[in-house]
Amino acid sequence: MRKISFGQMITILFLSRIFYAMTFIPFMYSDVTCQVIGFSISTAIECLAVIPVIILYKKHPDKNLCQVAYEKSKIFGILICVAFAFAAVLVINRLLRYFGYFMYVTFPDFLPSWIVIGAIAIISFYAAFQGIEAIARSAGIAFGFFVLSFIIVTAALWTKMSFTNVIYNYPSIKHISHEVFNELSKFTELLLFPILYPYIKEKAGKSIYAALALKLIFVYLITSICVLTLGSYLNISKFPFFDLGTYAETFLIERLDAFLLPAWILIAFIKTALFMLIAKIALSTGFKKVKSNVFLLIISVAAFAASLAAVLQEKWSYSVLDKTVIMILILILGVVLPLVYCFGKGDENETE
Amino acid sequence: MKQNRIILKRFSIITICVLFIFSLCSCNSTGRYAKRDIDEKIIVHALGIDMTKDGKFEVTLQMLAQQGSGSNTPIDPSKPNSASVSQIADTIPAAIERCETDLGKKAFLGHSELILLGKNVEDLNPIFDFALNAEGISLGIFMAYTDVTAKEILNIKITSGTYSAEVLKEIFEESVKNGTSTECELIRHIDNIENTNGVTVMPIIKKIKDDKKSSDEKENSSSEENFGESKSDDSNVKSENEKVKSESSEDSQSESSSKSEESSSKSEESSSKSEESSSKSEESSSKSEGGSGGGEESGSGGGSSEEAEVTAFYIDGAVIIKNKKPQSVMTRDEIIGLSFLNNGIAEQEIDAKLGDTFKPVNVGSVKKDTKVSIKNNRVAVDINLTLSYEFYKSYSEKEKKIITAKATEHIYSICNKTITKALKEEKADIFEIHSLLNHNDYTLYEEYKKNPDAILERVDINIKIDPQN
Amino acid sequence: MEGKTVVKVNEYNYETALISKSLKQAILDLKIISGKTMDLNIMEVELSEHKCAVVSIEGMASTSSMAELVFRPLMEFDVKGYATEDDVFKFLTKQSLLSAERKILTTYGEVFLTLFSGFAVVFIDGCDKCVAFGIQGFDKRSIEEPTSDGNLNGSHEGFIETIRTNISLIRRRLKTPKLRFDMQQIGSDSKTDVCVAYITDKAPQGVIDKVKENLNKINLDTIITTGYVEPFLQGKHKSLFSNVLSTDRPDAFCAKLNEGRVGILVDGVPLALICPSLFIENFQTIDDYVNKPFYTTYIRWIKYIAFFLAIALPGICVAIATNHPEILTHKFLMNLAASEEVTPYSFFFEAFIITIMYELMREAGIRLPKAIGGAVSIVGALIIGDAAVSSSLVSAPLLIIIGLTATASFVIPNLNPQTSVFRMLFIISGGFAGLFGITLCFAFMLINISALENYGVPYNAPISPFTFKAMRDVVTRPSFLKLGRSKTVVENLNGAKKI
Repeated sequence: MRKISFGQMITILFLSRIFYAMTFIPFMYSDVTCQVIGFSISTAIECLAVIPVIILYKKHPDKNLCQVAYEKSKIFGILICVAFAFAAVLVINRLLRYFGYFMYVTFPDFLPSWIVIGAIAIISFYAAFQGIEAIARSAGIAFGFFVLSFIIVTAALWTKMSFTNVIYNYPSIKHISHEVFNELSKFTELLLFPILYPYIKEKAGKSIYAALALKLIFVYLITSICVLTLGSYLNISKFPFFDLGTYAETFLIERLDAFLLPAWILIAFIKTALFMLIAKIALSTGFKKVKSNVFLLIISVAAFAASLAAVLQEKWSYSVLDKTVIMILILILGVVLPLVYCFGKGDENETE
Repeated sequence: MKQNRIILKRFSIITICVLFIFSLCSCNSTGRYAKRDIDEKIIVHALGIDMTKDGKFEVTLQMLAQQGSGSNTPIDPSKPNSASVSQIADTIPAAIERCETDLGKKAFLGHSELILLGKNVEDLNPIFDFALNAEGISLGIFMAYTDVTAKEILNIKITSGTYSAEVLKEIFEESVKNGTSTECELIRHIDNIENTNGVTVMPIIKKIKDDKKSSDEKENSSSEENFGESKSDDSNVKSENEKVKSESSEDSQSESSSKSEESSSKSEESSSKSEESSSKSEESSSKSEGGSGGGEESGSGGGSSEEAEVTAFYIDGAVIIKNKKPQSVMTRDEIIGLSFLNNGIAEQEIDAKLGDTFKPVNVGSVKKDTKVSIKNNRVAVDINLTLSYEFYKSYSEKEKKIITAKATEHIYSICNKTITKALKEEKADIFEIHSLLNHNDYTLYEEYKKNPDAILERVDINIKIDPQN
Repeated sequence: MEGKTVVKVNEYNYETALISKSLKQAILDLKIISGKTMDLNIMEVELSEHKCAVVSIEGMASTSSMAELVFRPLMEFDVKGYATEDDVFKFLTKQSLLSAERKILTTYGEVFLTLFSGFAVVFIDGCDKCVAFGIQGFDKRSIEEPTSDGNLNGSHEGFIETIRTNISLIRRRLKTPKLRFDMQQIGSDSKTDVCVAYITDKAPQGVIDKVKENLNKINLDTIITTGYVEPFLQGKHKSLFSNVLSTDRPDAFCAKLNEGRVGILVDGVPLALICPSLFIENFQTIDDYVNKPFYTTYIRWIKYIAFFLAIALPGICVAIATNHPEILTHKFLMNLAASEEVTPYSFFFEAFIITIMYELMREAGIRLPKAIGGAVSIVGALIIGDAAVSSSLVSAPLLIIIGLTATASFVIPNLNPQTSVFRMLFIISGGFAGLFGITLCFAFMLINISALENYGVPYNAPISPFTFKAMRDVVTRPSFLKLGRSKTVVENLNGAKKI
């Protein structure tokens, strides 16, 4: 059961988060100062929000949240399993749509969007089929690739950074709260972690904090590089980090934008595979008689079909579904539920 | 049963894969997603945009037209490997599309290095819109004005370097280093326009030949900087020198270059004629290579003519753009002053007059301190420049002191000239005042955001130069 | 016993059948079982008036050894008067040392196995046992330099087809009693000797047992090459990569045994298998441990680059030229465009065709006799190299790319099958979907490698899962002063499980 190491868990959680940061941060039409404050506040909230899951892990280190729920009450357990699978489908659907949008904007006339998301879905299915270890090991290499791309872009743009591009603004609470909400709706680690913690060999609690810290560091780094280099172009830039690539020039490669593309694809496919996997684990906990790979196929097809419907209409974003619904699911499944099982009746509190 | 399931599973996976490959193949051959090979694309080096009298856009694409020598060298760097094509339409994309139709290929703008604007371009809004939205255009593309039409500049064939856009780009880069040009990448223009009161500065590209005619009028602005003139350079000769040299080179070239000039001027004529009938006749508009034949011949005739071709362009001054419209022209000295005030200069040759002779000294920026303070409702921006001076070894200590003083005085004066011109006359924030205010006094910055011109009126820039030997 | 006399011995039931006491019957049985095969030599002889027979297989036993070591001592055997079967048996088994190897056999199965291994078997009339003497004398190849895994500074001995010689080559390098060879016969017909080699206190017992268990699962009739054994050692996972390393060098084999691996030798194949193995080991050669660390480190990185080039270079070039020309520097693009201008096909198709032509030439070069193989490369160089470019069928930059790719693939011969296939996949995906397709292919490869595990050891360790200590021998090559004692054993890598 204990298959993945502390480092691998950090990488998995980090990569599952960094896709949005890489793609959209700093957000267009939004004040960077507010965003930076928003990131800090949301990370602080995230640190608090993971406490119930960590306590749950300490109490049941070998059972994931679905198993805990299933053992307490079969019907409620099944409900929770389905909810997890639904949340995973929503997250995959959102990711595929965003990825499709990213490709649609950055490389138009390249491939039809449905092929793009289809290819990602197929490769993710294959990865999920191979299991958590294969994903974790691939994630290690994808992480290395991401860091390398980041370093190369930073090095290529080093001379083009200027502090005069930094313009502060007085942050308004309204904007900050908007950013915090926006950022928290991306906190999908809270769906991954309760399912995946039985697989980690050691220091599960620390791994999520480390992943959050790493995320915050990279979000700051990406934001600062974008601000220092692009200046007020950020106001009209849809994908700032990617736009760095169109500006960066090296002696070997004229433009780094397409060079950055692999980092996006690797991260997107790892994240999709992870959510396919947790949906499979959740459903096979609830419905033990059915083969787990059947669920995997169902989840993949469902997520792909949902995204396909949106992508074919070129509808890339659904604000209620992408933010509010996922946010509520994260809150219920990642915070409230562990809290209930931690302090519920009949459990002895184990503290370390 | 189990076997069946496995077979079914494999079958479904294989089906998916096959369907996927087929769909890939189908989108490859036709339609929007058809893949084009590189030789089916027009590799555009530079875009020239001019306005016609009736308010239409004339777009010139300078593109690759390789001239190889033998099968092993498909590109011969000694020959001009470029051609240009122009078309007129209501919008820029439409004009480009016409160019594409003329050549039967798709324009690939991902490698274009500069956008040149003809002198009659008066509204930059459509141009910025195009540059920001066109597929593949780099954020680092250079944008500059010309004092003639962009078409004219892009039609010049050069024989050194592979194509003129490359040479132009190198000229820009070198000029930014020595302060004779401001940074003119697209993203910097956008950044300036967004942050300031809609102001940016675009350098002006000129042709040497034009300069020769009008050099008498603007002795001042002609350069200490000498493109490609290193051989006989004693550097105390100013614009007259250039004139003499170009004349002498003309002499040495004897007939060949004059022939080429003639032929190029003919080509200009023919192209200008073709402008009128361009929308109909394909040939006249698509290939305006008239000058290239002559240029080539003269290139093979002697090295001197190559030199003449290389020095075909230079950067002289810049245009202040306000609210995406050209406002006024800054001279070369004013741009050097601006560079001293803003970015610092890596090295700039300044000629200090000592008695009757000019003594060159190489000046570079070391440090720049800026302070903002408010006194008597005036915003005082104190810029403290620390400059380094490099002298010839033969200078005596006394000479060095005098030269330093003279050069400092010169720099001081050009900086003040810049301030007077840009800030006092044009109310143009090209001194990064927005950033200074933002970093130092936020309330003032907020006022600046609301009414930049009012704040700029209250700004005084005081310069202090600290020479460091 | 009675039942046995009733059932006639034949070629199907001989394995467990006991040897007949009567010499006449025994000889008859031998003839029946072997179907009177022509290479069965039976020489009947009387030793002190007791009937015996010396049986051997022609060409398998050395005639000179037979004359010297068997016939002469047998002829000199003399008991005063009539010798009983016990006298003869006692003489053969206890009172003489006829050869280095002596076995007492009781069944026909054992008799044939030893006969076919080159033994001479002495049957004694009235005795239900016979004695076999190891006087093998079949022709074998002498020890030569390995052909595929050449090196400059290390040993020049390679494995040969005879398993026992191979064992001696290993034993000579590891003179420790902890080195064990467990021999077993696999293949219901071929009865091929397969030997499991390991060092007891270094190889994990779980791995040794698992390897033996996997070997016992082999239910094939014959084992002709290592390829027959390999799938059984690899486990269930279907991967394009092989987690069983093969080597034809005894020194490399010993080095791996010393790292706690289990080796498998197969008779008749000049190759040995090693498991568990790591992906990164495909880049390590014995020369790495001869040269100075700084040089080895440099060469290792060259090899990593070579692997990347061999797999992805043509694919990436196709992807960039077709879909992302903005990546190329301006002059490169211009050169490429200029050379593509005259060629009739698209860049993708050219790359596709040239790659196929290269594979064709390579395969022809390997299969043909060496003398003609050279001719093939000349033809290849002439036709592909010069004529294709000058006739504008293929652009020159593409030819350089494919040439570079081919050269790079020679640097890592172990991964040649994978590089060949992935190269083609990368070209196709690069042509259709640009860097997007390339990355997807890479992701597929990544998952395929990552999922691979052998005897509890992840195939792509120590890179991912990352083991810092072991990475020293991946990123650099530490000196033996440091490496000697602290070289990480595979079972201690992160992610490795105890089995």
